[in-house]
Amino acid sequence: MADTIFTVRSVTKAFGGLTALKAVTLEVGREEIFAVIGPNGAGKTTLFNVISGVYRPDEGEIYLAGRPLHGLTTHRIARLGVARTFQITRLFKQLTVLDNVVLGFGRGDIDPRGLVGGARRPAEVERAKELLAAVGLKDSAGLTAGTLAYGDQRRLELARAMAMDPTLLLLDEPCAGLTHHEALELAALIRRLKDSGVTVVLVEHNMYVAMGVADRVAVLDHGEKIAEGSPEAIQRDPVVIEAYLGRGEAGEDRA
Amino acid sequence: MISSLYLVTVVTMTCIYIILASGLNIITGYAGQPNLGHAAFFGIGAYASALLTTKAGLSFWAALPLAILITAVVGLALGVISLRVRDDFLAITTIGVNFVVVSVFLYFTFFGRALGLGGIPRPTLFGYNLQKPQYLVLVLAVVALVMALCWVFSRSRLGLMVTAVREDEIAARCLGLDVTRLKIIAFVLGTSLAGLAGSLYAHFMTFISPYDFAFPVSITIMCMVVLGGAGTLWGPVVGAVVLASAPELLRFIQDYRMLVYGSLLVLLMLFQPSGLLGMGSAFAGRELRLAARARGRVNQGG
Repeated sequence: MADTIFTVRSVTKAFGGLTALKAVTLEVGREEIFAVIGPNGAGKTTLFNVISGVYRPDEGEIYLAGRPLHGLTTHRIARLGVARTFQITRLFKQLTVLDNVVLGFGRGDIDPRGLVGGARRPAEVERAKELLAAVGLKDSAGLTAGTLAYGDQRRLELARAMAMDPTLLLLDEPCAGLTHHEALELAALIRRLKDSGVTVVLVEHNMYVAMGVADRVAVLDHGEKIAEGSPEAIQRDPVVIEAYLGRGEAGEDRA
Repeated sequence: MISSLYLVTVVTMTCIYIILASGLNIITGYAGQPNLGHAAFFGIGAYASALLTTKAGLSFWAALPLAILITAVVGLALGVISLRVRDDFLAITTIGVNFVVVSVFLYFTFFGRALGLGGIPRPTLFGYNLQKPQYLVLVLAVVALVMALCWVFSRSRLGLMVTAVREDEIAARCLGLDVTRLKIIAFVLGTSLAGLAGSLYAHFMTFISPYDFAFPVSITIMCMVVLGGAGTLWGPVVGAVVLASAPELLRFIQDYRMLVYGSLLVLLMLFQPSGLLGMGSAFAGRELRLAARARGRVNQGG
């Protein structure tokens, strides 16, 4: 991992008296799949909200390809190539599946030509349909996004994030609510994304999925990074076993 | 029984309400930002046009675009300030804006105070003074233009982005959409249309007073948008036609007409809350068919 593309350095975020993130540092290599795992309330989603600018870090720095992200607004961070999905899906529910994807193109640029022309250029419709096919929603383009089944809503979020042609893709519990089979399909899709040049950071409560797909894993507990390494090393790490597996959660997740 | 001049007045006022409701629809229907002070911008357009013609001596044709511009600038300034807050806070802020603007008209001599402004000229065209019926033709042409504009907006990328802001602000931001700017663009577009309606109103009535633009007028415009179907192209038109003509049509029951009018609104909100042309409505057949056809095109293209 000589070629670091994404750095989180000593990031701290507190809400009142609760410190959700304590001096968290991560270094993610180019085209790596990096998983952040931890029990509920460990600060995983807070980490994503800080990276994507939904929250501002109290302390610390975040860099993507050498450019600082900390202190920027959410839409500026997105324009620099950071795409994300959400733990609880956030789709444009009354818009069509196709339009949800189309909105990802151009990273929000208000093109003056877009003021009068149609909302979607033919090339964009083609590309959106390719992305929908890639996530298995080929036949749903014309449906209203809010009518999709939960698993399909997750796939659509992924297609929408891919439409941004991101450098860094943040996936917040991508497998939550999916069946085992669907989770395996998603893992295969994430690997294909990596092969196409995207760096992926995913947050996962489900250790089985995280271990299966990730190149490296970091473990958060109570806002602190307690371990980092290969999935195999993490699974054997006594600190992790005590903090995470020791609570009987792994048994549930593997079931 | 009904004089034709009376009919001309009702139709002209309905047209002015169509422009007002369509403008509010861009702000509330498409961008999802509550605005309960739309009448303030209606008033700013009317007062601007009235003052530009009576005091600055401009013609209607010069005053109309200037009135739109002035309203847009005020809309921009107030939008930048008030769009910092959201949802119910924004609704209350816009109510405040309405009261402040009416107060300004009421307390400054420059704006004629409670007496209002009179002697506003009707437009002249080729040396010919437009009377009410001819003026209606002009207003109808403007309505057609406004609807064309709204149609272009509703199917543009800008319109799609603005709708995304309504649907989920955080998701929109995470896609790189400048949510604040999009809200302000929608606000300025909507208030500009209110300015246009104000100018048309001033030169139709030839006399305006602060209460023509008071808070209840904002509520009426909001009712038109909600009744017809917020976020649909034709909903505000239907809402404006129904609510502007209903009080006139129900005139025969005199004392009870406000009761009937109010009850109709309550029933509609209970049984068809997305509006007459909104989702799930029997009247939405045409729009739904069009949507289905659009879907067919999308699917065939692959």
